[in-house]
Amino acid sequence: MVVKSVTREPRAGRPGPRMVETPAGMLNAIGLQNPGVDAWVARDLPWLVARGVPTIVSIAGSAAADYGAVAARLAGRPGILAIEANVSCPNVEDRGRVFARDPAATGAAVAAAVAAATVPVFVKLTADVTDLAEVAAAAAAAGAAGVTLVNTLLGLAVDVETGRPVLGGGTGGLSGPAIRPVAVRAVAEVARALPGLPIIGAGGARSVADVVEFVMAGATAVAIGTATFTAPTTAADIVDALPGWLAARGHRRITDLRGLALR
Amino acid sequence: MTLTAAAVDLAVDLGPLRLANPVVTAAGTFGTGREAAPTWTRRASARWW
Repeated sequence: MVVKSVTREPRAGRPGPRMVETPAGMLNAIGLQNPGVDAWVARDLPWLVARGVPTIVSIAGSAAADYGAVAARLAGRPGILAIEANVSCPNVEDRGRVFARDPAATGAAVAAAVAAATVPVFVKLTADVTDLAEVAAAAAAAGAAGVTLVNTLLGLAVDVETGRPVLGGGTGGLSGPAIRPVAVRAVAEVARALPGLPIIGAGGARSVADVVEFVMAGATAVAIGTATFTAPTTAADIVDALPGWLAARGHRRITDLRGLALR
Repeated sequence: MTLTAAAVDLAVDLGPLRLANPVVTAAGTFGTGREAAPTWTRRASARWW
């Protein structure tokens, strides 16, 4: 599993409301609430290790050096399979613009994490950019082992009775089935441009067919997110059903389907 | 001969990582694991993966 992002210092997160349903999806503005990396390592990591959960740790920060600092605190810890750098965070060194919008800022955050990490570093990118392949290439050049595509899309919901944003934080990240075609397109775009770069597809997948769609677009793995809120065991249910789905269609190996739609 | 589900190989190589299957949980939707555990242990085949 990929755990919720951890940062250098504890964060209280944004004021409520933090989530609102939208057509075929939801908007959220949590604000990276987390106990901070030291508390996470002391309290949450042992719980995961005791259960043998293969863990990918999402890390976030406000400056490139933060990614290195958090990766350093995770270095050498047992049970951590990889790091996923969440670069959809405001960069205080770039007027608060998110790292992921810029190839150089993304590369700097990734390079800082890679330099301190003892496990592979993946980076989760946003589709809210002009040239996603360029950002992915910068991440790969900085040492990323792969990319997660995509993070939530920035959205806004307004309460028409009050004339105020619905979410306490103002804007929020749009997720769920509404963004799946965008995510699948992003996967295909990067898979075409950078054929050797491993991709974790993410964005609205909630069924076996959705997972297969991401794989056919070029993803090696697929993340289940928003579906969890309505059906918490979705990820495990898909793993259970996937072999039967593939067998019924004569597919012996899931890897044989990767990138099928690009050929 | 019909292909059985048991004969299907779900393992993937995600760069340097070998995963038993291609499905992961997305960051932020599963907490740090402990929050989600009660719903998972109620599952018929209680296991993480």
